[in-house]
Amino acid sequence: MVKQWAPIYLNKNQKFEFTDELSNGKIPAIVLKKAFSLKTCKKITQKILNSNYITDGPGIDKKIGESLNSYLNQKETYFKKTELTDTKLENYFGTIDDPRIVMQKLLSIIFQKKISVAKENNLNYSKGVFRVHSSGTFNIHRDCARFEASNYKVSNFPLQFSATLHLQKAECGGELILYKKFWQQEDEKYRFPHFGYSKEVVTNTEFLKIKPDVGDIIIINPLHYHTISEIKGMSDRVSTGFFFAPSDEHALVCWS
Amino acid sequence: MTDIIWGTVTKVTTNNKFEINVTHRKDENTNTYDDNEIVIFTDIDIMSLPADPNLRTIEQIEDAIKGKFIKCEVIARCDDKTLNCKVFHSGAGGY
Repeated sequence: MVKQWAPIYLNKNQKFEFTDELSNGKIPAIVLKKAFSLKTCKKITQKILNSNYITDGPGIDKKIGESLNSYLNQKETYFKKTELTDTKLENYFGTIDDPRIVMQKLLSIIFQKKISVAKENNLNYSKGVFRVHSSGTFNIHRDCARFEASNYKVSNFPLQFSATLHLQKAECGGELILYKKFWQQEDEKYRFPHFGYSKEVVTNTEFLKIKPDVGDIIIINPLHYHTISEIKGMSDRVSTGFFFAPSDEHALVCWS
Repeated sequence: MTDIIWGTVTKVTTNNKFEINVTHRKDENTNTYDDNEIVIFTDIDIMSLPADPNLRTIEQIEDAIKGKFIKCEVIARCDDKTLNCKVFHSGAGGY
């Protein structure tokens, strides 16, 4: 069906039938065009950049929201902080709906499945993270709860996808670089102590660059090695996103 | 300052001993470390393992650390060349 390794572009509310091809890497990415209006993205970005809730975490200097990789060995803390942060964020955007919730609804339409936030022992996983990437370079990485977050229930899902909404472009750079290579356990020898992998792990590997427009949502199988191209200039790259997985034939669950 | 090495666990031999492929060493380390070392751990800070060392099995240790990237704080090198270490989970391979 797909000969060239290139993303599939969808319009808002269009359906996507090729989940298997996305999971096995034949389709590298789905780009949902103009999922959010420029005006909405600008308002959300202003709220994020002016927020007092900004923290840091592995691989990111500025973020809002909790993610598993900050708490791989502190499960209780993850759920406590998630409850606190997501309660604060629920009404943070004022008249604008929380973009993470809107994204869930859009994914539900695209994949024609119900979607909900993952739960464990009746506790909610985080709804997603807002990330601010300032100028600099970023380590190659992959996302794999199945391997890395084995203490968490979401590690039982055999598949994992990620969805990222682009809220503000960097002045220069900030494209998604996606490598045509899935992580394998043997690759752990290329790990960096703090975050990600050495470039050696993708030596001679085919890759593509996706430069999203503001308002686009990019969906990938994040087991592909990926990174962001070097960011230069004054303007930060701002995005929000989460992971999601089919929990059964008719449902998706999401977390970060 | 404590010496620190990082690497992937290649083999678990007993419920407190494993082999590690060392890929990173702290710049300020006082001693040198081979690419392959044997570690005996006194403490291991991995959530899935029972806190009581007597309750840990080799299988549990394998599930928790085999093939995984970990950090070892070196307490001492023993006479038999093994390293006595405190073992920790290290960083993240992704978000």
